Amino acid sequence: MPEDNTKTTSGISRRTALKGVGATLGAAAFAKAIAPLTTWAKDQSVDEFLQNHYRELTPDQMKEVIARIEAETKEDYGADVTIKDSKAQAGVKFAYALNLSICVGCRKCAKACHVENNHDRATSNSYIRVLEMKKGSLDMAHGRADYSGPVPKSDSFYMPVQCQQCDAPPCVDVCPVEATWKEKDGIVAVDYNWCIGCRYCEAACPYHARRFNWSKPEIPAEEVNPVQGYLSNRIRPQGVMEKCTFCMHRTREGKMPACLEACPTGARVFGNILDPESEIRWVLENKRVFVLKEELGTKPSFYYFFDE
Amino acid sequence: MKKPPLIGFFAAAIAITALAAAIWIFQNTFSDFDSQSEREAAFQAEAHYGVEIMGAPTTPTVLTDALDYHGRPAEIACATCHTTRTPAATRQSEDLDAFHQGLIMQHGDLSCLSCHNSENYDTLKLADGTPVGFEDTMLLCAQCHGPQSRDYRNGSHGGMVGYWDLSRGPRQRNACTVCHDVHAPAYPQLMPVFPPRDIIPPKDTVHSEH
Repeated sequence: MPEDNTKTTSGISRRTALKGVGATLGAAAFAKAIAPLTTWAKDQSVDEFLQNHYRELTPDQMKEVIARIEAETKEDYGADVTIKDSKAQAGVKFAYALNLSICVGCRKCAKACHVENNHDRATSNSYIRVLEMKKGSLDMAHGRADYSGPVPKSDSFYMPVQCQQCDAPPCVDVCPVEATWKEKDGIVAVDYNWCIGCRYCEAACPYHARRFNWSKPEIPAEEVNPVQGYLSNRIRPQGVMEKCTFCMHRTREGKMPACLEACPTGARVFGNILDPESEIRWVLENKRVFVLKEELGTKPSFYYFFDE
Repeated sequence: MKKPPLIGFFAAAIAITALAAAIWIFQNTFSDFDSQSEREAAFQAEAHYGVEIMGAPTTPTVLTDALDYHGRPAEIACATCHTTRTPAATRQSEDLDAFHQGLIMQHGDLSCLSCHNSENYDTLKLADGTPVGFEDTMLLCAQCHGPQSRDYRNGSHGGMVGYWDLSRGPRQRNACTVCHDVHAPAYPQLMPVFPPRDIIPPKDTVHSEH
């Protein structure tokens, strides 16, 4: 039969052709699916991929990790930085108090945070959000962070909000990989190299204190703060969470946090809550302090008060 | 007779255990107190760096409208004029003449001589007439602003930089007059810096290419 001959001489049946198309599409889809791995491999070294959790690193491993990150920072940002792994001091638990009666809402704390903690310049990121609220209310839902014009306005007060370093932190509870935990001095720390970027902690935090690095932070070499801490202000990789650490790289060396030093009115009080002679203890013992969203049981280490 | 020694043995063992427990509890309780008092003592002993107060005023001079030999505005000491003039107990800054014109005075119902010492214009005076130097202005302020003075002394008013831990480094604090103009002390309004921006995925990431 001539028709049958034609079919066999063409060599490709309908079924075979469909199989070929299917296989091609499948291969293309697979290639596309694993494409991110090529960019990932570009950004992440094998050493970084195999790196252990912060709390399981031996001192020698830590030295290597720090040397590697310093070298990477030099390569990526052109900045010579020193990364320290300051440990919690015995007998120290940090607490912060903020006097809402004398905060003028100038946002200098937020700016100081931005500079100190090597935040992405493009997004103007900061761990501090200053809310403007009407006097006589404490309605954070209607507090505005995007206010402008001369401050303080006579009908408003200003409430800077940052990580409250909770003693019962919901962000730590929800982390599926234990990349965030409570340090002995009360700081809730993040291992940026262990974080998988799922953002559960961002959703769990009732204070909106956690930030996600959507992109690789961009900072000009001359603006990079070279004094860096492994758990605090070193430049974070893309795709991980970050948060206020009470400037761990400063406070664990005995210094004040950057936001406190920037405050022109002295609304911020910082110190060791275990030291009965400290300023923070005086505030807690003599002012009517309150914590944000006490009813949630998060037990913040950050206190607010009014003078009157 | 086996039983009595056995009972005695058990009784002795229990007694020794109870005694050991009592000693352990006693030691722990009191060693806690000891370490607590030791810790407090340590805090006081360790604080060997000081707190320096920055920007306290010094004995002032006043700018004249004349130029000196080098062409710079001439500054003269208060006593240059005030040793010969009769002090005016005025509350109105408009009444002031010579170099004090235009001084803005918005400080309660104070008169010039509430704080300035008419006996010696290079000093100030407390309400009871005790002269104080310009560098000790804080004593003067504290007479009326008790709560602020108390908060300042306890570290919860006024800007500072340096170390929270005075065993590891010093601290610098602002004097009252760094932030408050003595003649119009209300803290001025200022423009906020650093407006926030929404953190959204930037347009050039791989996710927005699709």
